[in-house]
Amino acid sequence: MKFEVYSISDNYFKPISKFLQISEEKVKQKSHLRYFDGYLHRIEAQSLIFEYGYVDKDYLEDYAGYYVRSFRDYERKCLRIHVFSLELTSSDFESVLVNDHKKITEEMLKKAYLGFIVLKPLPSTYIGKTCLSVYPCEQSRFFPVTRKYSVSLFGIDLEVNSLAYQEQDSTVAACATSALWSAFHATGSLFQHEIFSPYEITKSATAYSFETRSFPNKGLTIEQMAHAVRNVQLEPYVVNATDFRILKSTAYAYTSGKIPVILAIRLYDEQHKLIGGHAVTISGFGLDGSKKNIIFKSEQISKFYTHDDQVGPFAKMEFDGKTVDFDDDNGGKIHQPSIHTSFSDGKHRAIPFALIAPVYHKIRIPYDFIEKVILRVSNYFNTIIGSNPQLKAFEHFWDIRLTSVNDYKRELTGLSILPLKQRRDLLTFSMPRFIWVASAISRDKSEKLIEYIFDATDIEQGDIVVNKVVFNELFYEIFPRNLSKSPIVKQFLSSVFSEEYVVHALLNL
Amino acid sequence: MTKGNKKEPKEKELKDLVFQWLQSVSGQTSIKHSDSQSKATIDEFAQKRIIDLDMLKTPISL
Repeated sequence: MKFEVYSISDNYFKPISKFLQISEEKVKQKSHLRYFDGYLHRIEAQSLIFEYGYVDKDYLEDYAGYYVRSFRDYERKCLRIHVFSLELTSSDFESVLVNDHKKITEEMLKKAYLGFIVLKPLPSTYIGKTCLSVYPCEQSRFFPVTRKYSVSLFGIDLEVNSLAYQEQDSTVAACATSALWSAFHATGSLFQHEIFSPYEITKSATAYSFETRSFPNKGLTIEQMAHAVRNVQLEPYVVNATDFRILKSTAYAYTSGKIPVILAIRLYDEQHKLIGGHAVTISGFGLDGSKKNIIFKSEQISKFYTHDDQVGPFAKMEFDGKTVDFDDDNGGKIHQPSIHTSFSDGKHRAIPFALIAPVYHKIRIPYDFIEKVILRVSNYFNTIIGSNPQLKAFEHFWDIRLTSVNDYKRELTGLSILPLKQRRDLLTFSMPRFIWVASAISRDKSEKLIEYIFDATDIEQGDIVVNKVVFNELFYEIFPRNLSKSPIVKQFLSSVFSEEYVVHALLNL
Repeated sequence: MTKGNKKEPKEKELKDLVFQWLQSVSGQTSIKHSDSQSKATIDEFAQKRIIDLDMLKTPISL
């Protein structure tokens, strides 16, 4: 195996064109490589190490399943490009390899590692497994659906926090398969299931469909994607996502719990003409904290970061308030809310239509059930606030998210705002593996007022309210405590309907 | 808060005021109204969440 070292300012498209055996001009026209170039500059990359003769597991599976049987001789080995945030020369790297540290040490390399891009030896769809570090984290950017990837570069152990991405090859995988593959990289690590290659995912998704052939693959339906999710022993939670409030709240709730969400969209060109159906994996989101007059925190989402196989990893999809306009049957116009995408250099707009969250089978309580409970409680609280101007300081919004007991307790350990005894009691309190957490946050100070913990593994008819965390004693006394004594609230909540039973339990906790 | 009450109520007073209001006719009417509103919102969102058959069969192929 040989390697080459380049600076980010070098024309590194030249060695890429040599490896792919296509013209440099063609390489420069490839939109993914242009996206990567911009992305690498944004994450402050300085040097690239080209690792030739790399055997990529995913490509090998696709190769064995499909390409090896072609008449044309397709190559088996890939080029892996490693990205570093420090200036590096070939002799620097060689001295690290032979442990003759001069200027650069192994530790420095480890610290500066920003991930890798695999290039497959295919004619035009050659972007293979890519794991790049996320944008520098600010208060408004969140990338909960990332995991640790361990990399060995000629015996040097490196690590990057990312979510794997790859372009569809339009043969064994279309966009839907690529979106599933990225999502399974997150869930495989989270729920310990096998991560299949694109070829295997397409095969499992189309196992029960007889409309057309599976390979070469020209795409999947939501139904087929749901089959692929079941094949890795997860449950597909499918929701209609045409309403932006439902889209944002559902995506926020699951991605906050590290579960990737696949978004199915219809893409439209500049003339508002339908291009077709597309799928991306939501791996993060951006929040606009200035939006306070809201019911749910998820309404602050101003953009999603998505793995879009036609664009690149962590590609922005922004809620810019613009619409896609159609002619209706009566000669008028329908203005449909849409999302700005990075697809086709930002020219195409998206109208979402469905969400798929691949969840562990034990996560039985869906997001919408918790939302129903909180909407009821929130309306009671807001009615009280509206009754008395002195209560304006208690105006609040709700943050509803899925999490695991381990992650939740890890958060609690650093929460010095809670008295020591309360923290100790919560940390030692027995809780289920997966929980829903709903926190009321004050609009003016952005401080938590109260937090309810629900058992995500129970049944809707069960006793799902696990515990509460009171951050503001007066809020607790004025709202839930008073409501629990109100005769009319008691009367409403005596119903046997499960959601009312839960609201009753929550107010009486 | 009743008219003419110039002083800001203390925490306990505020809590009691809310309690009394919730027990009063106007409090109960307001809660009744808010409850029917939240039920309507919940029903509306439940309807919007349902995925239709066309969506399930839409080819995702770009």
